[in-house]
Amino acid sequence: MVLLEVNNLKTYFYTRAGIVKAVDDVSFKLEKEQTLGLAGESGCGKTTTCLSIMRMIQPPGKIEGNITYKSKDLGKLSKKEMKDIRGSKISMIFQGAMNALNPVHRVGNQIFEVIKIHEPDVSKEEGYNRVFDVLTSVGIDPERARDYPHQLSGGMQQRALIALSLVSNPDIIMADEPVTALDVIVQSQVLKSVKSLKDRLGLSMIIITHDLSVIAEICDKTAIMYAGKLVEFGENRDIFKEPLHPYTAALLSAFPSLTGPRMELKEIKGAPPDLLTPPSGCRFHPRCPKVMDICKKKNPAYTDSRKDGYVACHLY
Amino acid sequence: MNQDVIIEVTNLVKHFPLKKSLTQTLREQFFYRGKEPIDLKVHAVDKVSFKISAGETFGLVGESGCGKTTVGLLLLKLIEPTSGVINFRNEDISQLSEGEIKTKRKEMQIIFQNPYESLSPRFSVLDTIAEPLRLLKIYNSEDEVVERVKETLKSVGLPQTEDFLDRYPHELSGGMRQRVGVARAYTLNPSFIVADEPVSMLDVSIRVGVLRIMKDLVKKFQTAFLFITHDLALARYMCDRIGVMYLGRIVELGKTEDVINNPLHPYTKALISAVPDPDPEATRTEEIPIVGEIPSGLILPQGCRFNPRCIYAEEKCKETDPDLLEADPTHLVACIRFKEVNNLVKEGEVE
Ligand SMILES: Nc1ncnc2c1ncn2[C@@H]1O[C@H](COP(=O)(O)OP(=O)(O)OP(=O)(O)O)[C@@H](O)[C@H]1O
Ligand SMILES: Nc1ncnc2c1ncn2[C@@H]1O[C@H](COP(=O)(O)OP(=O)(O)O)[C@@H](O)[C@H]1O
Ligand code: SF4
Ligand code: SF4
Ligand SMILES: [Mg+2]
Ligand SMILES: [Mg+2]
Repeated sequence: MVLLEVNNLKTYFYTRAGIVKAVDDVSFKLEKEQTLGLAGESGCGKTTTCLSIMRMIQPPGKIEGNITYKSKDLGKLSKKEMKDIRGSKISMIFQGAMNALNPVHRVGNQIFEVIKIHEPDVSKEEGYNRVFDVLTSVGIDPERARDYPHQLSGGMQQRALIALSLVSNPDIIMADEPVTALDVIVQSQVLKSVKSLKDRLGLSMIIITHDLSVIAEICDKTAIMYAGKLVEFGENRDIFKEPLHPYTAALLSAFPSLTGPRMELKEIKGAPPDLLTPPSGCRFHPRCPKVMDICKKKNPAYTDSRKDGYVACHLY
Repeated sequence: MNQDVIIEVTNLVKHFPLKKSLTQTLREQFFYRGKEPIDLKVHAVDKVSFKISAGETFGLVGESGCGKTTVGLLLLKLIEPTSGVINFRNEDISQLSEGEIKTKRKEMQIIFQNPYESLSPRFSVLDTIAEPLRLLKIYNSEDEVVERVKETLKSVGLPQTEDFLDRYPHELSGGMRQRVGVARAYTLNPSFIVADEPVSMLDVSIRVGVLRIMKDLVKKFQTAFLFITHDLALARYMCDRIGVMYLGRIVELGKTEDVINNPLHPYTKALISAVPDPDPEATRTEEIPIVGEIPSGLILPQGCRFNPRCIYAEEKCKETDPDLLEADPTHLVACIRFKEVNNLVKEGEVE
């Protein structure tokens, strides 16, 4: 079942310097119990895409296109209706959110307060039982509910945030770079709790990361963004095994690996463009090893050369 | 490989004395009441020994706070060691004064982690790269400075035009900035360079270029290169040998491929098994569990520092703080049980 559908999403920022086309004609689907990894380099529009889904873009930003959640057009909802969805059905864990926990309140109390926002009538006992439950479900000993945030390690704080995003029983959790600041051992522990959570609760998730190995580890689907465009979308296995878009291929061969033969990494010439003045035609063309004449003139449309997905490139 | 050892450290130690605030004192008394008195120093680096030859890249890897940066700063004498020997080109520099070390500085350089902070915004590309030349006044004319700068720019793959020389950091992309950082480090053709997480702030697609340039320069100028990173896969790509650090100690040291394909220390095993692989179909190596969390550098566990988290720990691990032992002449490991742990002898067998 398709839970969330994004169609031709355009989010532009009308700044004094000009129009920043942060997200430009992006489409994808998220099915129930699916985990989608949204990958790409800094500034390519990952966060903006998710903020647009949440309708949290502030002026001078403007959103166009359709976002459908359970056949409701989110663009047509009133502020109040959208706020309800944001608070309960779709949860977002923000980038660098570790500092989002209030340092002067005990972690358990903070989670309890959030439960009370959703269910004002909840009793103390029932509420705290829920607190202990969500903490347990992310692998934190309920004893630690009495701790202040600084008494938790980075990995535990990140898990506490995931716990916080779970209390409203959301259908979709969007997590922006949830493990980026963590050391590998802690990162692997957090990813493990995320994995077991989604299996147990049947959660649907969007995970934003610049690290493809995180996606390889826990996602079902992958969407690759470049300079505001979604360039390739499909099943994880397919994309990692046989990337079609030259950017996806380049990105994959720029990642060193710990396993397999020690390989030379391939350099991608140049740097990602400034979104105020993106290149004409295909935005990757100045850096693309397979560039053709048409690429400079015409923006490639989505083609369905990919099973259960698509790719935007003139080669296909 | 050229066996010309450029830098060798032996039993390097750095303790940071702790300046305690009142709340800290109270908190400690509250938490650790009744336990044995604690030694209030941060044991940032303890008994670290390794050497780097000309043309060799040595990697220090480990989780944040394990002491990698501190080792780098000690080697450059940007901070003073508590004890230990730093032999740089056959001279112990550990006790040299600030004045005496100055003459060595042109031989040793550092490339920083953050290309956005490490370049002065008021210095043009020319001034940035020329700074070491000018500081040490080793040039005859301004033309010579410009020539040297252009040469260095060429070696890091940047344009050598007047326009580029006049640009300021904010007009450069992250990758370009880091190349300028590399260029500055190479201006004086040093024999030793410390690169502390040099690409961790860069996007993947521009990283490879910077890595490649550093690799080429190390070979071309036969630099002894200390590459500090928390990313094991990067270390594998860059380094000839690596040392794995845990709580201020090097726990395993050897050729990169040996350490990564055949880790002997329980911590290295756990670390390697935790690294996600950029291939969804990769056969997962068996996950090595690790217990609990890194203790603070303030209150170190008795005996082996890893013992509270080690699944192989025994009573005797609480008694001995192991030194590096030879598993073979090029592969060292600081674990008294490494033979049992790696099935090199049968359990209980006496050697
Ligand atoms: N409020 C804003 N005003 C103007 N431009 C903006 C605004 N927010 C984002 N942008 C621009 O939109 C583009 C996409 O930004 P976004 O934060 O979505 O990137 P990202 O992919 O999440 O990057 P990162 O990996 O660095 O978090 C960037 O060019 C950014 O500068
Ligand atoms: N100037 C300092 N004063 C006190 N403690 C320090 C100082 N610099 C580093 N430390 C401590 O030394 C330990 C090692 O730090 P560092 O070398 O920066 O680690 P890494 O580079 O491996 O992340 C940490 O516990 C850190 O907090
Ligand atoms: S459309 Fe052309 S330039 Fe763009 S990725 Fe495909 S081949 Fe390369
Ligand atoms: S010495 Fe003991 S505690 Fe330390 S790593 Fe070896 S087995 Fe584990
Ligand atoms: Mg972002
Ligand atoms: Mg550091």
